[in-house]
Formats: sequence, structure tokens, C-alpha cells
Amino acid sequence: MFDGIMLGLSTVLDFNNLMYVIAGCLVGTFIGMLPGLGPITAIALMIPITYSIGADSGMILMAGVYYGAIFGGSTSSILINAPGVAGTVASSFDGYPLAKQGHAGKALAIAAYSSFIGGTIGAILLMVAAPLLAKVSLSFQSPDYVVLMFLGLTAIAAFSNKGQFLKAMMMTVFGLMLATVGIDPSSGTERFTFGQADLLDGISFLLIAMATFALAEALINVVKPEKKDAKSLNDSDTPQIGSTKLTKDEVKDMAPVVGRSSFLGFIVGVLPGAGATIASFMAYATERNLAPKGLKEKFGKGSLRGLAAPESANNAACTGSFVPLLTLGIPGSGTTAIMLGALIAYGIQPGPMLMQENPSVFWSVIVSMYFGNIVLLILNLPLIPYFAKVLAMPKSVLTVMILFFSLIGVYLVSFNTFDLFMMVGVALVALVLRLLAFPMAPLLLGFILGDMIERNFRRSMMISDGSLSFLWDRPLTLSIFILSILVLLFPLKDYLKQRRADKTASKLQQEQVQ
Amino acid sequence: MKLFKSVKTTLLAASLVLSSPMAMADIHFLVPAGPGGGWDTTARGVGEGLVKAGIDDNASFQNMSGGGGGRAIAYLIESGTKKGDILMVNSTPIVLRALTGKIPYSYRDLTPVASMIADFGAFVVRNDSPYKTWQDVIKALKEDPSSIKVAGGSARGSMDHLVAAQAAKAGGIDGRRIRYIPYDGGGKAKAGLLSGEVNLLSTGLSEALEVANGGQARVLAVTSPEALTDYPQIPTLKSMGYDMEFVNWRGFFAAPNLPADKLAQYTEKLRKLQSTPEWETVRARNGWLNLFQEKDEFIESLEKQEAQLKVVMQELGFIRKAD
Amino acid sequence: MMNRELLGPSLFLALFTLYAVVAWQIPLLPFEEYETVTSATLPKVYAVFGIVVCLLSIGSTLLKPNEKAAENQPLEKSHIVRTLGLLVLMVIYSAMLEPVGFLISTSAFLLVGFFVMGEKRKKILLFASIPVAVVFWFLMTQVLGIYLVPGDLWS
Repeated sequence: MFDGIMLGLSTVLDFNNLMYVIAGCLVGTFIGMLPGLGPITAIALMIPITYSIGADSGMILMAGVYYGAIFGGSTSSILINAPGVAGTVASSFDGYPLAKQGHAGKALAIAAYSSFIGGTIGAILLMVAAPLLAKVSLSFQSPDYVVLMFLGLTAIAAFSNKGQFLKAMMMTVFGLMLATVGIDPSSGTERFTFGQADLLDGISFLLIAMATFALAEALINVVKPEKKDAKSLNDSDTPQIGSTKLTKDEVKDMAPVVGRSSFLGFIVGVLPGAGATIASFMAYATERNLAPKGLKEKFGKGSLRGLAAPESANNAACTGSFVPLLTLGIPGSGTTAIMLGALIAYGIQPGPMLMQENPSVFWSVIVSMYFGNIVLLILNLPLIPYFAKVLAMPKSVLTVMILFFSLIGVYLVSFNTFDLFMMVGVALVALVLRLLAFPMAPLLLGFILGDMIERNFRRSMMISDGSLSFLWDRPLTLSIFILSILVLLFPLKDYLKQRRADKTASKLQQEQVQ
Repeated sequence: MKLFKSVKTTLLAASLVLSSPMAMADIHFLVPAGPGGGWDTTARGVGEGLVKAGIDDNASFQNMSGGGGGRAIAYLIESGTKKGDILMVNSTPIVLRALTGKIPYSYRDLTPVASMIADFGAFVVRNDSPYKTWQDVIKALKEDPSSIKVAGGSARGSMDHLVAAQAAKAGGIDGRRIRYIPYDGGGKAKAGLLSGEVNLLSTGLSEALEVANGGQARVLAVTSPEALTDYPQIPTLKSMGYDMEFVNWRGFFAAPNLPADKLAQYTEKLRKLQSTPEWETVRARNGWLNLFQEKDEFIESLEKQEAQLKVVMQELGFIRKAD
Repeated sequence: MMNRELLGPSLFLALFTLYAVVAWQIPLLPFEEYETVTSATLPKVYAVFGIVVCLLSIGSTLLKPNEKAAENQPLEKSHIVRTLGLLVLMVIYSAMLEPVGFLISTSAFLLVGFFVMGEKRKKILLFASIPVAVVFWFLMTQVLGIYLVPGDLWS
């Protein structure tokens, strides 16, 4: 392993490659910040450029763009509630409220540090355990994904505070339903397409995320502007970013969260069937469930933990997705699929032989990640006050810009104006729902998980020839299933305790009265 | 008002000027899918070859995904020859989807120009699989069709499934009894095979080779009509006595009612490209196999394939038998 | 106001019922007829579950009429008009984008957008719209090589 590290270091420390690391991170951050425009398009278009610079450098460049984008996506999630990349949607749940409360600087700093730690832990794990992890990624079969996603669905409880549970349920079901639009892959039947060819491939997650978050948020600020002082929309708000410093207590509080989320995120990233997006949602839900009572309620309203968790998880997952890519040639996400194509085009065969036949590619990508993470941290921290200046734009301009970027971002993926019409429609619906106090996050969760649960469920049924035994056939499946039942019952424990406490309290009251 | 008018004129002029570099491109490729996929890579590879070999000055690419390729086809039919030289890349799915009705068009609504490359179907098993040869698989299927689960990266009823069903039929097994397990994308299907939840993977040859070269799997058979020059050790179904061949061609189409001289021009360009070293670089880099078929030969292959697939799909119940 | 609390669940109830109707009509391919889980199974499950949740929600709101709904300031008419204006503008932009071309549509969208939002300063109207569209166009087409329709009407 040490030879590998040496090999990687010597490759990366080459001046050209260092430049590529920096270039990749810069481009990635920029693209990640623009809501909508994603790393997939950028990397796909970069591939021809990379033919001339060689495999090592090409991979370093593309990897830089990939995690740079995850880094940058948090910026727009936090500042304008318009996630730049699917994996940063969960960061807006607490990041945006923090920014609204005047702590944008702190939020951006937390995002930067968490991403850095998540990415670095991921890189270390990748380096130390890549071949072992390959085995892990292969030991997951369709039934395991079913129960894993089910575990994720139990996170719905995480998004709801007391009165909101039923509303969150309704949004989740709505999300599940939206996921069924399109051709059912297991059977080829069209569902809910109403004869529209454009709906055959279903609705894209990006479309829903941008419409429910970016567009709806921009519009709700128009319909119900905050009445700070009756300022006209043409004036700019003084950018209240607050300081970027974190107190020792805050750091101590977040440390275990970051640690746990990084591991969780990395493992989820390693699985070929799940990526940064799912990792961030699961980390968010897990941390919320693990938080002590007082802090639990802060989630969704500006909890530092709530921001640190998804941020560490998504960067760790991003790194983790390189495991199946490099060691098995199996891409875990759209972006890694493109990179796989590039590897093949370079004539490199990813797989267990990669470490033997092309060690320089393997190790240089890993070592470059360390540098990449450091570069990103150095790039982002000092720039935070400048990013926050974005908030200083006159509201009228900012709102329209957000609308533009969201629309064009989706257009640049599919080049289909039908998608744009759909976005407007979804945004309108989301706007009305928000005015009626419905939470948006469960919708997204239902949408993502619904799709995966159904596919894996149907597949498991087909493989087991129609019996449900796959749920308990294998120990792995069974354990995750039991875990999710426990998580589901966990809040019940609190509820029962509360009831008992209330009963005792009222009993005492009665005794006092007598 | 005056300001507005002059602004409008400037904008108009500006956009005309700035957009004209697009119109001057010698050849424009229409890709019915997003960037990075098979169609996209093929179009860009061909475009690169044409420009580097000096056959064309400029190549531009437009991605237009949606409706399983139907959107791009509709666009091509509408724009006709108005927008200059447009070539749309496509492959076997255009025949397939027309048969199932997933797209309301068929290759007959366009002008087929030529096919450039081909991929074949292949079947892969894990190295530790009890099935050492394709004959073993057929034997197992005969005894109990549900004992073999076949993974594929596309939905039920699409290419990977059909190829597997056809191959089974050639071995004397009812294609409908094949247990096809769909995955979203070749990558996940590969994972399914390697994780052991399925026994067999039906995919394109290039992908099959990726997995096999990684050292964890074996290619049991390929659907090419003749043995592969680069991989003669992989048996073809025909050589083992099973009368079945399947070619997934990739080629180019132009707008309908294309004037004969334009058609000849495009075909000539592609034909010239085939023999250039620049094309050979692109081809070798991607592991493609050459299959150049010009207009009539191309149309003939399309018709043959359409007839072949129609029969299989009717037997499998994916399309109703015509009355 | 109790109505507000009932409005949401009722809307969902209507939607889910519609979904259920369509779900029960999903055509089954011939080979699916003897499978337990078909492409219509999960949609039906979702529909039933969703309807149950809505009924629970409506039920619990009706049973607790004393719950004070959160303070809800009525929306100002001018704001609603403005929001609708933006929505309409987005629809127009989407429709115009391919026929008229990226540059003109985007510049127009941004310009009119600012205007709808109340921005009257000519400098901002012009300089925050056209240059942005141009820079974006430049980045996309020249730097990244992404094809943006120059406008069907004039090519």
C-alpha cells in the first residue's frame, strides 16, 4: 500500500497534475454553484479534452470536477435555497434557515469544513480498504436495497414535528406517486403518461427538486415577502452573513455528527445502487433521530448538526462511489458512469486488475482527492464573504436570476421545453402547498426512494419467484429490516414516555387538589 | 419607445451574427439522448474523425433526448433540409421501439444513410458459475426455465431481453419462459451478476468484454454471424449449432425525402472516413467493430431485422399478433 | 380558520382519488396476468394509503375544532399579481426559447422579469439582462460546446 501511496504522490505532485486538480476543483465548484447545471454535462463534454493528456491526468481532472461540484452545490443550497447539485438538496434544509437568520457565513463555513472532513475520511477509507470494500459493494443484492430504502423512508418521521406528521405522509405519498409516472421498467407498461411521449421516461429528480425548492422558494418570497421594514424590493438587503467563526462548543457538538455521517455516507456511496443524494438524506434523518430532545426540534430550523450531517455524508459518498467504479467497473451514479466511459476510452480496464495493471491511475486518483479536498477548502473559505455578497443583489434581480438558472439548468440536461412547462406547473403546486404549510422534503424523499424501492422490490420478487422470503433469507437483509422497524418504533418510545409523564403529572395534580 | 426599438434591432442583429457560426457548420449531428451515452459517443467519434481527416470543416452536435428518441426523430422530420446537413445517429432500438409503438415513427419515416459500426449480443456468467458453456445453460433451461435468471440493463421487452429470448428459442426453449430481470443500466446489471443474485447477463459485447477482462466473469457466447477477429475464442451461437444471430448496428439517418445528391454526398463522406487512419484511432479507442453498410444494403438489413424481431416479440407477447 | 387546515388534505384527497382511478385502469401485458406483483400493484397501494392518510387528517381536524390555526395574514393582492406575472412569464419563456432562440428569449425574460418585480431603473433593466444572457450564451456554446438553438424562426 505504501508503494501505492508513493506512486500516487509522485504522479500528483507533478506540476501539470496539480494544475489539473486545481482546475477541476475550480470548474467543479463553479458548475456546482449554478443551480441546475450539473457535473454530468461538464464531465461528458470534457472527455475529448482529456484524450490528449493521458489517463492519470484525465481522471484527476474529472474527479476534481465531481467533488468540486458537490462542494459548490452547497453554496447555492444555503444562500438561495436552490440546490446546485442533487446531492446538496438536504443541505438546504438547515443551511437556508441559518442563512435567513443572518448566519450565512457560519453555515457556509460549516459546509466547507464538513465537506472537507467527509471527503478526507472517504479518501482515507478508500485508500486503506478499497479491495475489501469492493467485496462489500458486491454483497448487496436487490433485497438489501429494498430494506435499506425502507430504512430511509422511516426517516419521514425525521422530517415531521408533532402536528406535521400526517402532512409529511401526504407529501411522501405524493412523491411516491410522481415516481410511478413513466414506463415501468420491470414490465414495460406505460403508467400515468396520458399519451405524452415526453413523460415516457418519467420525471427527472432534478426537475422536481428545482421546482419545489428553487422556484417555489423564489416565488413564495414574492407572494409573501418578509416584512422586515417596509423596504421596497429594489433596495438590497445589507448582507447579514455574520462571522464565519465557530465556537469551541459548536465544534464539539458537531464532531461526532460529522464523524458518523462521513462513515455512513461513504458506505452508502460504495453501494452501486445508491449515491450522494441518498447518503445525504439518510445522514440527515439518522442524525435527527439520534439527537437529544432539545436539539431534535431545531432540525429544519437552522440546526448546525442538520447542516453538518448531509454535508459530510455527500462528500464521503462521492468518494465512496469510486470504489465500485475503480475496483469493479461498476458506476454508482450518472457521473461515475461517464467517468467509466472515459476509462474505457483510455483503454483502461477497471476491475480487480486495475490495481495491478494500472496502479498509477488508481493511486493518483486517490491521492489527488486529498489535494483536491485541501484545495477546495482553501478556495472556498476566503471566498465566503464574496459568495454571500450574492445576497446583496437587489431582490428583484436575484429572484429573476434564480428563476432563469433553474429553468435553464433543467433545459441543459434534456433540451426539452416540455420539462420547463412541467417545472412551472410543479412550482405552482409547490407554492400553494407551502402556503398551506406542507413540508417539501418528504416529497423529494418519497420520489427518490419510491423509484428505487419499487424497482428493487419487483426485482427481488422476480428473483425469488414470487415469494416474500427475500426479506429474511439473508442475514444482511434481515438485520437492516429489523433496524428499520426499530427506527420506526423509536419515536414511539418517546411518545409513551411522554404519556406516562403526563399521566403522573396529572395524577399529582389531582392529589394536590384533593 | 425609441430606445426599446433600437435595443430590439441590436439584439436581433446580434443574435443573427452570433448564431451564424452554428449555421456554417458543415455537418451537424443530432443525438437522441443526453451527453455521454452510446449514441453520443458514436456521433462525436464520427464527427471527430470527419474533421480530423479533413472530410469536413466543422462538426457540431446537438443533444435532444426524450420519448425514447422519438423527439429527435420528430425534429428531424420537421426540419427536413431547412437547417443544412443533419445526420441523426441511432441503432437497433429505433426498429424495436417502432415495433412496440413506443415511438410513433419508424426508420421508414427517415432516410437511412449508412451504418458505421456494430455491436453484438453476448452472454456472461461469473467465473465460479456451474455453467461452463452455453450448452450447459441451454440444458438447465430445458430442465427448468426458472432456474436461470437473466440480467439485462434495459427494461423488459427491450434489446437485452429479446436477444436472450431469441437465443433460448434457437436452443429449443420457449422464449416466454425466460426469467428476465431488468436493471437500470448496464452497470447495475453487471453488479447483479457479480453479486450473485442472477446467473446470466445478457448485454452488448463491448460491455461483456469489460466485465470479462476484469477477470471475474466469462463470456459464454456471442451473437455475431462469424467468429470475432479479435476474440476468436468466444464461440458464436451459430458455430455451436444454434441458428441465431443478432447485430446491434449503429448508423446515421437523414431527413425524409432527401435529394439524391445530398444522400450520395453523405454516404461518400462516411465511406471515405472508414478507410482513414483517424477513424481507426477512434474505432480502436472505443473498441467498436466496423460494419459499413450503405443505403440499400443498410435498408435491407433494417428490413430483415424488423421482420426477425417482430416474430420474436409476437411470440413473447410484447406486441399483439396482427390480424 | 378551520377551512385552511382542511383545504390541503381535501385537495390531496381529490388528487389521490384521481390517481386511484387511473391506477385501476393500468393495462396489464399478457404475461403479467399471472404474477402477484404487477406494474399496477404499487400504484394501487400508494393510492389506498394516501386516501387513508387524507381521511385521517380531515377526520382529526374535524374532531378538534378548538385548535387555533396559526396566524395567517391574508396575502396582498399586488403580490399575488406579481407572482402570477412571473409564472406566466416563465411559461412564455419556455414557449419562446426554441422558436425565438436563446439570446433573445433570455434577455427578454430577464428584462421583463425585473420589470414585473418592480425594478424601474433603466440601467439595471438593460445591463443585468442582456449582458448576462450574452455571457451565459458564450460560456455554453463557445467554451463548453453545448448547442443552444439559435432560433427556429430565423434559420
